[in-house]
Amino acid sequence: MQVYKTFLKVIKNYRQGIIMYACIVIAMVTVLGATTNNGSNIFEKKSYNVIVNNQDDSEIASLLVAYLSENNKVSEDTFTEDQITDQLYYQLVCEYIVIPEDFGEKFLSDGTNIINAKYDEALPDGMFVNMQMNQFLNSVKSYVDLGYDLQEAADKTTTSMDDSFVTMKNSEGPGFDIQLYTKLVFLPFGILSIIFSGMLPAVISFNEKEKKNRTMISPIKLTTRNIAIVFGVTTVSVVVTAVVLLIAVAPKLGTYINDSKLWLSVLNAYVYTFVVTMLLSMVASFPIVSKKNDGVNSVSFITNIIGLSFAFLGGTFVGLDMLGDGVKKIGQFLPNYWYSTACIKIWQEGASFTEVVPCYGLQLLFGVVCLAIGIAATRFFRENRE
Amino acid sequence: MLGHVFLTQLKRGIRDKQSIFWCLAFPIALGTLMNFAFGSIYDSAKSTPIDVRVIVEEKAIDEYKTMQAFAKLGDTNLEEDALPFVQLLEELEYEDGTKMIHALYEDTDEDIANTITISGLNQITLEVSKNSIESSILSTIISTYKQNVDRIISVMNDHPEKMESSDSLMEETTESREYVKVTGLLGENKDPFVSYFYNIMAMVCTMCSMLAFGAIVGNQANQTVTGIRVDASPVNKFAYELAQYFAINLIQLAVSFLALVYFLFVLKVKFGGNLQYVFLTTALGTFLGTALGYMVGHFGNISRKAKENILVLISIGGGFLAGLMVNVMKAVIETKCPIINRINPSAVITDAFYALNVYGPGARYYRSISYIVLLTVAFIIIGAILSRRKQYASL
Repeated sequence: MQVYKTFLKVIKNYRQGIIMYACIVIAMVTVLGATTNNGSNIFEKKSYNVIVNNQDDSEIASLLVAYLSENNKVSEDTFTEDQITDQLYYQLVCEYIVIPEDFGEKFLSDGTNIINAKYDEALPDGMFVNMQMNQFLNSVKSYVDLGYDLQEAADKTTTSMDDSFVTMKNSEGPGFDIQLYTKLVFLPFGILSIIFSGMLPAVISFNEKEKKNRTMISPIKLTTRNIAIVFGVTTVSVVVTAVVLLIAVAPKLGTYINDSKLWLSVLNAYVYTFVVTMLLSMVASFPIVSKKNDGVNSVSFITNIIGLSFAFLGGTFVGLDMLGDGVKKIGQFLPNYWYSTACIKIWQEGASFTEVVPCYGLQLLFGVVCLAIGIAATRFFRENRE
Repeated sequence: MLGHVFLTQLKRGIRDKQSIFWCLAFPIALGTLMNFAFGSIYDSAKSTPIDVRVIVEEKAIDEYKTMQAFAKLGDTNLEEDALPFVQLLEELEYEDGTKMIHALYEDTDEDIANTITISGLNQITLEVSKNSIESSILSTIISTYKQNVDRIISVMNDHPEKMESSDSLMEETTESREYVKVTGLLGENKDPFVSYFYNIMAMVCTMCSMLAFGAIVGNQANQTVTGIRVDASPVNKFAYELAQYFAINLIQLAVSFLALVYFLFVLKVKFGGNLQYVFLTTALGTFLGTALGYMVGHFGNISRKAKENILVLISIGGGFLAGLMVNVMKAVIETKCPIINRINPSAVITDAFYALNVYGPGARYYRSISYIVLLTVAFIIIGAILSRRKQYASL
């Protein structure tokens, strides 16, 4: 109890780091929540962000923009050339469309190549938007040739473009909440960063030679001391996870409070938290990690290397479906991979507790291996020192 | 005197193996993992043939046979691949000439996400397993085709005399006018995932500001014993710190270049742009990172820990806003609040690499470089101002 209380006192000295990382993570989670749209399990054509620069005031130009807006998120805001290139390069926008001044006249006089579009030709996204424009304009032109006026032709075209012939496999049940899912998938990075940056220095300070030697000659057993530290780390970690979970879930708490998905996700986050505390104990047992020296703070580097690499390989930042097979094979050795897999199962496949248990188990297995390595490393380095 | 301080700091820096290890280990470990994780994502997103299972029902062939008979074309011994829609699927190509559809007519054990069932001339259904670009393209192809067939059927209903030319009318269903003229995107390497490497380089520069920070804090009499000695010695403080700044830059430059060489020649990451400019950008980014450490080191009388946290906040928070975790973030900030991209050290470094790749060494690149230089100068000036008139009377 004495060591446990002391650990909590020591942690207070590092609260600045914990609060700072917590603020960064909360900001990240909030930004991510604001930039994702919700999903659906009924068929919907892919909708893309496109920028339209409509320089023509003809009726057909307006009809085309209106049609594009039905299927895509059209922005008619004014951007600089650099901003447009930035957005195209980072795939924030899939296409930049310029409808020139004489578009209406050329359209009615059978002109071709009368709209200018800019996009990455290697990707199918821009081509898909072009297909939509060509489909619309070809159909309108055919109806106009049959004697309809432009508005009637556009109405008939839009009516005939229904997607009722498309069905989705497994289309039963409600669509999954991408916003909440994205936030939950992102949490491991936050949990790991906060725990490592806040608690690693405290644990290392307990392992400093002088302090450790003092403890060894005191009536407290080394094992008891270690257990107390682990409990201390766990206590703070539980609070940290509760805070970040609450921030992520709060906007949808009312909707999901009685849904097993939420509670399975909470359990998933706590399993991951315990695994991170075990990983922390392993990292702290290596002498390469010192609290600080006059130069760099190695804790920051360790936090970033482990946090970012786990996140990139485990599907935290980039979805598992986008990662190659080789990456997934490596990722399977990391808890983030199984955390993300559990999230997919819970939110996309509606898995039950028994179906998610293997994911929890594999995360815990990683933690146990870390713990074992940590104990072995502690003994090895202690014997070497003796 | 300056030379002496410079050499001493250089020796101190070189002997600080732990700092050098972490500054190097960070980009090497992360770069290797990112290269492994993102190396093939862009290639896999490129336009590739869409796998689709096609089921042609007998009644579709019968219906087409009937139409052929009406058109008196004689050939009623039709196979499924003679159907206009099937022909259309076979003929479709992407802009680069790659076949768009890879149709499989046989039963297969492969897990194919999309299935097209042709039950009649304009009775075509599509079953998809998820909303994707592939399913969207397929639905657009089918809807365009069905739309054209419906129109032709209505023409034939209104003008039965055109029945004999139904075959040529059907051919028209696969033709369409191209209204869009395409311009490709600029840039030597169009893979947006390369921006993660720009961000790692930016992170190397900002994280390694810790070296400069450590040296500057070490000079302060209220922080270290060495600081008390430095403060008591008859040297010009600014000149002393400037000599330290250059020495740390030299070490840091070696570390950044080693990381860059590893990215360029071992991982073979295509940064885009002339190599000399890539190295120049890295060097300027390094100077900026060191200047950041110099400035934060002088922040008031707050504790070393608090200053360190500020530095971490700038490098991690700035890294997030520059796209280290989500690569589109920099473009989002550019449209919502571009001023952040001008004052965020990670963003200005990332932007210089990006400008070099997309625009080459032109006006846009020099503008990005000028922001790096301006920020570096600003940080040094702020640091120098903050370092003045400090009294340690109580020590």
